[in-house]
Amino acid sequence: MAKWWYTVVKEIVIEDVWWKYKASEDWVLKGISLQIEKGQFYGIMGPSGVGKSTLCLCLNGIIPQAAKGEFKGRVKIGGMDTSEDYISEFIGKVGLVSQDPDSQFIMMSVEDELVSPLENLRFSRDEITERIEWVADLVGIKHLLKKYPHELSGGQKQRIAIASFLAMRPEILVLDEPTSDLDPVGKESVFSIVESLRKETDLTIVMVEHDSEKLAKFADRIAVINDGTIILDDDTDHVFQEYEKLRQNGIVLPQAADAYLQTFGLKEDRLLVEYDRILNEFRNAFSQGKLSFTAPCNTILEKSGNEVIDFNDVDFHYPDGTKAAEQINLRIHDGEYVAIIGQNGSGKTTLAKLLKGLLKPTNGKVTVFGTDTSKVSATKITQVGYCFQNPDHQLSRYDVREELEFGPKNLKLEKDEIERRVDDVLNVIGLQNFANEYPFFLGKGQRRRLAVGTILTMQPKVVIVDEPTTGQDFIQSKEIMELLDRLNEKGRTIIVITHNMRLVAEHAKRTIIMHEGKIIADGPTSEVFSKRAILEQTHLNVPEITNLAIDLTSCANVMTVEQFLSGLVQS
Amino acid sequence: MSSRSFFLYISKDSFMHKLNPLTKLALVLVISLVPYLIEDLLGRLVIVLIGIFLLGVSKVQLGVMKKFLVGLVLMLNTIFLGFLLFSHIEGTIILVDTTVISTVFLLWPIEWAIFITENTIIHSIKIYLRVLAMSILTIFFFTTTKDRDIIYSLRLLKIPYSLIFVLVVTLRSMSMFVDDFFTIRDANICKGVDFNRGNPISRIKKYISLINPLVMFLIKRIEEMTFAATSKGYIIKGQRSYYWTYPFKKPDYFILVLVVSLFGIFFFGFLFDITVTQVLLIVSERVSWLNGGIPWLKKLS
Repeated sequence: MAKWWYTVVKEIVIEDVWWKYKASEDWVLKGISLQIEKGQFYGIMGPSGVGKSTLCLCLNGIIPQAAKGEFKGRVKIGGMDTSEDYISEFIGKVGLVSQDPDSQFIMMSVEDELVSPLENLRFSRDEITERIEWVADLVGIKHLLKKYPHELSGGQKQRIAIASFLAMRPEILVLDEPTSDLDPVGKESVFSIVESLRKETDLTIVMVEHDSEKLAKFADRIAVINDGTIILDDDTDHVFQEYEKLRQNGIVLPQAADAYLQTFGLKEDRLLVEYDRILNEFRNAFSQGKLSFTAPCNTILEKSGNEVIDFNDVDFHYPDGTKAAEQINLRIHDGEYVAIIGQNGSGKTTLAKLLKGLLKPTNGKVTVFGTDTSKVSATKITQVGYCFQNPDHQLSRYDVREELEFGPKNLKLEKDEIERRVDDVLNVIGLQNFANEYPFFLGKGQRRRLAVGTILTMQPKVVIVDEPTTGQDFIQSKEIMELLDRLNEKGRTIIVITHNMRLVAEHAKRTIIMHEGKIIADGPTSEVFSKRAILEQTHLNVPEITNLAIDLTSCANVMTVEQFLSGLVQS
Repeated sequence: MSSRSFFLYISKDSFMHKLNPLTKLALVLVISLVPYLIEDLLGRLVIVLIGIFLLGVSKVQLGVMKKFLVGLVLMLNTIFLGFLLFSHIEGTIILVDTTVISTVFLLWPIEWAIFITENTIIHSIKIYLRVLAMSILTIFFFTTTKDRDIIYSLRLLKIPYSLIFVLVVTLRSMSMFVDDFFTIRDANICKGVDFNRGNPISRIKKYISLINPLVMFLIKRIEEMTFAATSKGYIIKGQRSYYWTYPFKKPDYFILVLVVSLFGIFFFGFLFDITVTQVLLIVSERVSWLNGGIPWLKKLS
């Protein structure tokens, strides 16, 4: 097939762009200027809420033509001006994939999702058939064509979203945090598409992403944005060389690059970021006897606390017959810090809902603090607090204080006690200065902390947090994890459901892997991370630093960069 | 993960499922119109029975839509009671009562007279049957027709695309809205809200408190869907191409002829003021073993 992309677009030119949403006093974009060459992979990084998604909306004319606000500057796409040319001129030329796989699924089936945009562009039936066959092959979705949204995982939906734009054969593909809601498999599948697009096409790709390891691997250039302005804009290698500046802007180095930097420093004034080259450098140092490695001790779980949760041969089947949990046997002790990991649909959330009593077992028995959950309503299981994946699902009041008071009021506590708890929790979650703010006006990180706070005011002994860091930048993720660490230190049992393996390695002492509704591994995190066959079966990837240690020394006990560095012995 | 994709569609291998969506649309629209042409009780009952027959032929098990049907029955009962209590139709009186139901600042008493006659009851039943018939036919259409086919049939009828697109977004957001509703409800249960406790008013209040986050979600989702739709060309004005084809087959022509004939018969009755009850009465009087007709038919006529 002829490469359609050798056509019009030479580059994206963004000149001194300013944007302010209607009813907002502040400018979101403050004089952004960028030039993106044809065929480049351009990464955009930066903390949450600094204007990255807004910038994406500028690339196909939604800003300034469809969104309401004030716009200054100029954006040129292949010579066309997004302020002057009709927005319909950009349809088909620029594809824009957003974070939420559900909201961008317009039609009711996969086929229709691919067909309708092509019908909108008035392609003939034969042309549509040819394009769908081509894109289904390219993105690997042939087996999904007859499916419906509810039958797809988040990763599959995101592939469909990408495919629906690729079928229009755009010249530019803009991906706005396309993997933030996805499990490791979904994330890998999106990046494998990006990889094949890089190999097989000359498509210009602009990707907003928090994962520095992925951008280090794929991006030609990276722009770092903070507070609506460009902080850095350079080749990928040069950007990572400015690691201090990156840290100040809430971006962490890839773990292997960090370990390399702290061991060897810069190489010929450059920071190595490619994993394979870093591995070779370490291997050379090991073979030349300059470095050796002492593995840290195996972690032993302390199960000194009382048993607080007991799953005894638990099955859970949905009314349509789907087996979401099977033969679950699990014991959790007071004060433990447990991570539950696994693919989307593996049963993690079902397990947590069974634990809170939101779901009742089909067979078997769940006992929480001595109470059989099938015999009481979930509202009575007050020892367990459950924070949902999306904090916005948990916020329903009109100011932060009222939000925090809501739970204790339902417990019919005395007014003084409620005030005391709310004041304490406001301090713990760091929202003292926002007590009278409307919850939905807070930043995403603040809303996540508030959602945890609404549970903390009820003083549960077990806190379950579903995906605490989804869609958050490094600083926000760190804040929420430090909050959970503090709660654990004070004796609370913490259960975290997550896809973020780095987070699991750094915080959870015990890890449970779920697969197809069953627990297939359970033990100290380092022990679970050493089970390569199970990790491969479940498509879970250990953190980059654990991988580096395994590749160098076959030791799977390394969970953090600090542990890796402390194991290195210089001769 | 969303719990459902379709608004109401239930997949079955039935004759009705295989019909062209335009045929089904014509069938539903025409039969829904008939209750407006016929005034007598039995005529409307016949339409209800036709609806039930269509559902039966389509093999749709209504148990799947239990929650939806509970809402429908509640709505029908409310309509029935509303007409029963608020229609004042002269006739044989069955119940009369005048009660002061409220006072405003103790100055203006609001009086409500319950005035139920035999005719009020018959009128309320007729209204009930008309709404019931339309509801059954609507259920039949949505349970046997995929959302895509509904949209395509509207496109084939040259309905403006902007209106069709509103329907598309409504159908799609409905499933996401339902998912958000249940998640927000669960989140409130985790904060100690027991939706199964308390009197009906306090329960309603608890559900009302969910409106704030639901509206926030709805606004956010609609904004995101609008941006996605813009990028995918749904805002383009003018003609679009058609990928799917919907050929008319023999069963479609058969059903269309049947529908037109049925409509013709009822329209004829409407023009010449002949009711189903009268037809049945004449038939029953001529059937020898009925011995001169059925007494309640005479009363109804």
